[in-house]
Amino acid sequence: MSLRDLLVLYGVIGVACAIAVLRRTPATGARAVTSAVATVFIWPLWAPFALGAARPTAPRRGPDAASVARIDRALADAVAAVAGTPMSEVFSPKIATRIAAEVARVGARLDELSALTTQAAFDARASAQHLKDLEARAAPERTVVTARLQHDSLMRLQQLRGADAQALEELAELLEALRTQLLLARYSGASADGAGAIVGEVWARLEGLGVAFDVGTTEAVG
Amino acid sequence: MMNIAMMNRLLRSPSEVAEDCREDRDLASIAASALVAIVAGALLFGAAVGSWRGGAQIAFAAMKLPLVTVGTLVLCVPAFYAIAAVFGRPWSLRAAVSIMLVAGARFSLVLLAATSVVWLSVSLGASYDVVKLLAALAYALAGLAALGLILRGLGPGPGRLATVVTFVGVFLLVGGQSAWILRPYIGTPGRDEITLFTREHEGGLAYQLCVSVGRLFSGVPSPRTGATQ
Repeated sequence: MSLRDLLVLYGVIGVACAIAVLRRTPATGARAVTSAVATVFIWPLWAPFALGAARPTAPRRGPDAASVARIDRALADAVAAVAGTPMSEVFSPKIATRIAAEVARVGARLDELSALTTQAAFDARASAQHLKDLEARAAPERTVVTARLQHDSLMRLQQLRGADAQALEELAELLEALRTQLLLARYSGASADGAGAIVGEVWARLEGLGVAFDVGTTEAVG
Repeated sequence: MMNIAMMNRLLRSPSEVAEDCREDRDLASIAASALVAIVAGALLFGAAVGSWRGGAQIAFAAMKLPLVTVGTLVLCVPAFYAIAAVFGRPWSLRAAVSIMLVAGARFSLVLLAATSVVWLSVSLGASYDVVKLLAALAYALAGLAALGLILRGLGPGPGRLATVVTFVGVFLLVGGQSAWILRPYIGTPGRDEITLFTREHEGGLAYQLCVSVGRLFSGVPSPRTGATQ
């Protein structure tokens, strides 16, 4: 088989994949055409994303599973509410996917933190008892100070975890409000300005969650 | 459109991006941004390299470098998928391709950073050999940055080193040969004409790099312009 034969074969597969992309993609207009054209030339790199479906994620089992499930449901409802309307610019499937990815990341970190705080070495109650014992038997001041620092750090870790779990729950409330706002705008024909503001608020809260985690991690390590 | 936030994450938190690839999180968006970054970075670096000769060579090199980079990825992705599976990482094709793409994007971003250095050296009248070695150095640095991301993508566990060594061998072979087939990028010293491809037998890539190093250190005059005087 010559190089030309190989190139022809590559092109034929590329065109076949591009047709499949055009038929299957949920996107419309220029986005769909761009995806199909890219598939013709670089189908080994692009077809898995243009044609393949994302792996279904296993249901979460952590303590924040309910909040994450509420967020996912609200996102799916919101995308369905704006589908085929001009409001899809305010809340596109791409935005929903990015929010879901951010929430999944935050949820995973919360799970890690939960798992950490259940380990014996990070047990705040045990550290409090240890501190009390040291003080009761009049241990050297330096030992007590170190034990107090350890206990304070563990308490701070727990507080951070609680605050972030609360923030995730508030985010779920916010996204449910967004879904309702979009549905209202769709059926009443009103403007979706309110929804745009909520989307901005959602991003701000997600960024806030990320910052809280970074600071918390640094403090916990330092 | 290039997702700047994604590029930022790629440079600052490569481990996080690699984990997203493995866990199949928002992969279409990651892949699209990576492809745009690969083409943009290679295009600008190619233009900088081609500016030594000037004229049509700028356009030729700007066109050929993205072609080489994407072409090498196209040829190497199946190998990466298979090698990773053989050495204990049976990922989905989407995960394997996305790790390759983000590594390629990191590679191109480093090339983009080196573009100004190459351009400046050309502006200051650098010789053919200096530009050639600068480009090779930029490629080596970019390769190290991409390798770092692949290592993070592979994660801990047995078979990591074997996967990397085998894949790097395949990648160097395929990439080097693809680049060699589509030369010249800088231009042919001593030639007035500018050609899209060269048909001359000039030895291999390693041989040419050795010749340039030899010329630089032996004091033999190195060509300073593309045309014969």
